[in-house]
Amino acid sequence: MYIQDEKVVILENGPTGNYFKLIFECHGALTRALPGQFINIRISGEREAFPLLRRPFSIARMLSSTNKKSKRIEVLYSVLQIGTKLLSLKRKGDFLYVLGPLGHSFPLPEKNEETIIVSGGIGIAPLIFLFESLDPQIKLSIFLGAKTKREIVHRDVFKRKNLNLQIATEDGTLGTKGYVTAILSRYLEAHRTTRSILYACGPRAMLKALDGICDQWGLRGYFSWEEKMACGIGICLTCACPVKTANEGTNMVRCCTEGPIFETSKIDWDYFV
Amino acid sequence: MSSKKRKKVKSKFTKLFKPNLSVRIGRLLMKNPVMVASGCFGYGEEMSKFYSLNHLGAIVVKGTTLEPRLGNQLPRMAETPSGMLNSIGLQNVGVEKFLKEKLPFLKKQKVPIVVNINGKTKEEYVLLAKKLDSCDDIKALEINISCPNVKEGGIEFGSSALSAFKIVQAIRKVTKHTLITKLSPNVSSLQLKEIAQACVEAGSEALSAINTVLGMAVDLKNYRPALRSTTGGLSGPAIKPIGLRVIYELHQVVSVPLIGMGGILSVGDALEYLLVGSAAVAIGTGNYINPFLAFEVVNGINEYFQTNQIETGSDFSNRFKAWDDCKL
Repeated sequence: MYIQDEKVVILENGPTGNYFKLIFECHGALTRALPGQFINIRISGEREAFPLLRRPFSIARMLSSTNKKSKRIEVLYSVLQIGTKLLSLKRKGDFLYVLGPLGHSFPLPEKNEETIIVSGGIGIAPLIFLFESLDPQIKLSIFLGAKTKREIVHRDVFKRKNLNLQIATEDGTLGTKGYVTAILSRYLEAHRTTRSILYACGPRAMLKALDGICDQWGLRGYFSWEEKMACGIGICLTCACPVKTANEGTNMVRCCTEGPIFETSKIDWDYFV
Repeated sequence: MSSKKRKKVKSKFTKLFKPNLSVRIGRLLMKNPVMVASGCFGYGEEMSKFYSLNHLGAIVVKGTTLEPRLGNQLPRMAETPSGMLNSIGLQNVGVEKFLKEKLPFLKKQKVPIVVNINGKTKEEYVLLAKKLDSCDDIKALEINISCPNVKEGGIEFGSSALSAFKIVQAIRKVTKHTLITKLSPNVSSLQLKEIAQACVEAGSEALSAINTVLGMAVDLKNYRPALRSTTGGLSGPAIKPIGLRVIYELHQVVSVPLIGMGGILSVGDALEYLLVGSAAVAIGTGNYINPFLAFEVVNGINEYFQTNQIETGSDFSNRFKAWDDCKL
């Protein structure tokens, strides 16, 4: 896959709910990004070293542009520390260096496979792009989870025929009160689907719970994995993810290169205990 | 002016003055002084997507051990002001897999390969050196006696002149390759000079410095050290002044070629290292921020030498003007 470090112009950058939405125009390799792939953004200027490292972000949406040859990429992010704080201060017309597309994309569902999407908080980002790339005919259920209503963004995007969309918030301000994994479990108990693929992104604890659910119901689970990352291109070995080897051992693979999409049955969950 | 015409003018200009960037590190001949630092370039394959590796002076591959290593627990990295604190713990595929799976790709490139070697014991270093000795595609070994992120070996050997001497001497006996010893900045200035001299005496044909600086970061939100291993090695622009000081000091006491590294993020940074006495430089953390950096530094040095009519690297370092003795 071709990777480029593209200088892009910001078209929009501002708050949406409790998160921030960044939209920029790209022309090169980034226009060919697939759902699940990510980008590594240099927030510091060209000659500056603060913040030193780039920050990795999922691609939340791939929008068409007025120019046929270019595309618009939307990034959803949560302002946590200095990197995202500085990014949130960028304005329309500012430049950014964006390295990508990086990593592997989500595998597509097989024929006749029911598709389930589960998000937790800002983990919704890569799943919007996935949703928009899926065949509109397939059977699809979406479960969005968050702490509160203001963290459920882009609800309007999830629109199509026969869509089962359920929401859970921890404080009960929107949808069912409680965890998203609880409403998913209830759904699975009621429907007992056999051939299903589950896509998820969210906090580690949610993914761990989903791993148990996938195991219990025999679902193929694909998670978008997050780990502290420096280079994003497979050379620093910072973003290791423990996976099971054929002989029941553990191997550390790179989240940026072998991931960020991992099949949950391959992840060595015991490593984190 | 048409673009064709412009090109012609440019080529005429470059013919006027062509600096000779080649340098010799022991018996390793490089076409330019820009290397990439161990652990910051993988095994080259990923980076070959960005530019042809043949532009580089040499590639130093990820620290290699006898057995494969899984590396340290997570989190392994924390960003600090102008720096990056890491504790990867020498995750690597091991020497056998390196020779079988990683070297074939590197062989195809027309760039000298340097292998960074690590051991828990002197015997392990010797075994490793022996295993790599028969391989003519490897042009030099970099003895890592300065890794701060492993429990056994690593920095332990690089903290005293005697143990450094013993390791280098033992390796010298079993290999024909050029030997470079990578030094740690985590010692006093006096110790550093003693260790450097000991390495050279034991047969190291060059020295590289600096490995990362031992440091710590705190995750205030969770009341914990930011790294799972509590401490780690600091790299990036934050340590450039330390790297420059070390190279400057080493230059006073040893006459072997020095490879300077630590916080090189631009051509200017690389030139500073060359000016204070390093024969070559290595790009480490800079690769993470700008994957094209090493390539840009090669071109940048060439341009700088052209513009300033500098013929060779040693001509450049001769321009260094030390202050007269300073009253402290």
